[in-house]
Amino acid sequence: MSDLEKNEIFKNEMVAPFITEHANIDPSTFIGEYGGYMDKLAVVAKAESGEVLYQSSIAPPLIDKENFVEHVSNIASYLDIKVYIAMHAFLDKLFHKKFKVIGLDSEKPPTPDVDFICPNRKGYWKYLAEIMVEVVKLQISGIFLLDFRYPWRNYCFCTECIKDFRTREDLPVYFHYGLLEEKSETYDKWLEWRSEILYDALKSLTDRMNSLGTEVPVILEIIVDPISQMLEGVFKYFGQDLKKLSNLANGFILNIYPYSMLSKDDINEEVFEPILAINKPIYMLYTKKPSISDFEILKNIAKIVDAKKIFLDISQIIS
Amino acid sequence: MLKDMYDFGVPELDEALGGGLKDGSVAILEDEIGVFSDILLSYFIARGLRRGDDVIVLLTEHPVQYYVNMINILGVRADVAMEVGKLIFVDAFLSPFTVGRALHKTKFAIRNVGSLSDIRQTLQAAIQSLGETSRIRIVIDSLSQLLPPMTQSPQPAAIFLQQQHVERSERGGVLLGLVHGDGHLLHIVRSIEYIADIVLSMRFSETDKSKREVYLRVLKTNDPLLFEKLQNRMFICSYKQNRLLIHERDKIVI
Repeated sequence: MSDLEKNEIFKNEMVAPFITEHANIDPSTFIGEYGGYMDKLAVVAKAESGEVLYQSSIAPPLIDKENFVEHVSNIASYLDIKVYIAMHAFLDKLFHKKFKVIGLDSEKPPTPDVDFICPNRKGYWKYLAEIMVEVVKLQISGIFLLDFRYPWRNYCFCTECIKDFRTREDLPVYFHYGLLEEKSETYDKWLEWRSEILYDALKSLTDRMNSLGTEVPVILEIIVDPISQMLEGVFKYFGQDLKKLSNLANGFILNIYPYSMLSKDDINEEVFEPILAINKPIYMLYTKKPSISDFEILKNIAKIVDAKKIFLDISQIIS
Repeated sequence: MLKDMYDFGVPELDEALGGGLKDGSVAILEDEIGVFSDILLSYFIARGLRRGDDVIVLLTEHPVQYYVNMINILGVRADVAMEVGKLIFVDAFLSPFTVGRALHKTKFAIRNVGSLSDIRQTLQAAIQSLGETSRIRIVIDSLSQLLPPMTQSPQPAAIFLQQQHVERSERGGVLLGLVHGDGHLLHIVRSIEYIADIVLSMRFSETDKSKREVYLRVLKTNDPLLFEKLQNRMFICSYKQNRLLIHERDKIVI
């Protein structure tokens, strides 16, 4: 598979740059070179490390990038480019020790995820909400809320979650994912309970945004990957009830195949039916370096879902 | 910025200290009435929160809101940090149990500030509540409540600091405690300063009382190289427009 030249990528009207904390670029140079071809860009404001790339009174700044978002936003505004902010929600290395998300599959020892935190922490919701309040002041057109989900299907069994779920269900003191899966009725309730937590968390964020009277859209990241059964699997694997969440989210950004290699054989309209049924604006995100064939598949998906843009991680393209 | 150091966010002071306070250390800030040592402590707290450190503040002389306000003035949202468990106050100032109802909103409170075990247990509970933490700052304003004439003997304070010395060197993090140098007999202050790894002093100028200049000096450090560098240096502190400025005395140009 041959690689695409960066010029071919960034001059394509379907493409918008996704600027992460890893992008080793000077925003002025990059936007100066490709700004004429863009009408949108996305920049990470809260990194996986938990650090932020703007002046914050809440979260610690990423050293040497304390004004990165402001800088990008200023340059973009001169060229009339819409800026979207991306922020990692439950992937936060700063808090992952404090609010560990625990996977418990069988009698084996619990396995905490290395970077994710448990979504069932109301104090952290407030923290996220206040970060959102800060970023909306940065002249932005939308917020991409990344990893607003559970890390995988067998999470979370931290003490808080066990206590919380046990108060609803008559369960033994010790239970794990394997046991739940055996009891189909309880398992369904557990899946439902997880999705309610994400819904409540998103509601607390959107309520806080609404209290400001802001109309900045909140766009939720959805993983589309065969390993997690494409869109059908997002409820079971990640706890996301698309229908319910769409009552709060203003749109969705589909993260295409973050775990697998793209294959055109998997892609058809049927795969995307669950998201098309919701009828909300859709964006796409691809975080690997696309080959020519990958790019063709991405364009095909964009056509199917009528995506507003395909955001490409520029740190993968420009080294 | 060095990873194993705990800086104050005051560039000239941090530079002089080789990046800040060293991980695992117990530090004492000695002051006298009227100098703005609580502002330096607030800087240390705010800087910790900006870096993502966990911070525990034990207060024996101020209500919690006093420090919350100062942290907010320094541009850090103390309320959010408290909500998410990055900032924990241990209230030993108000007596929450006297009238049978809580007078404050902190989860951790000390019933009897004269009781070493009460202080230690409450502080331990606060540390435990942080869960696994990689960097922790403990600030105490002030240790003077544990010293004569407030108590009968300096021994509880000394034992407390010795315990902290062991715990910090084993578990990491730093403790910075304030002591009012003018509130106790000199030998009592010195007796606990011997236990500390580093002692900073904030005092008014003795030579020219009319100017009311505040001087900061490093009285002691366990690091001989650092002590050699700092033993004859003196810094002038000023607080203007919500900013703490510290300059080395010789560098001041009037």
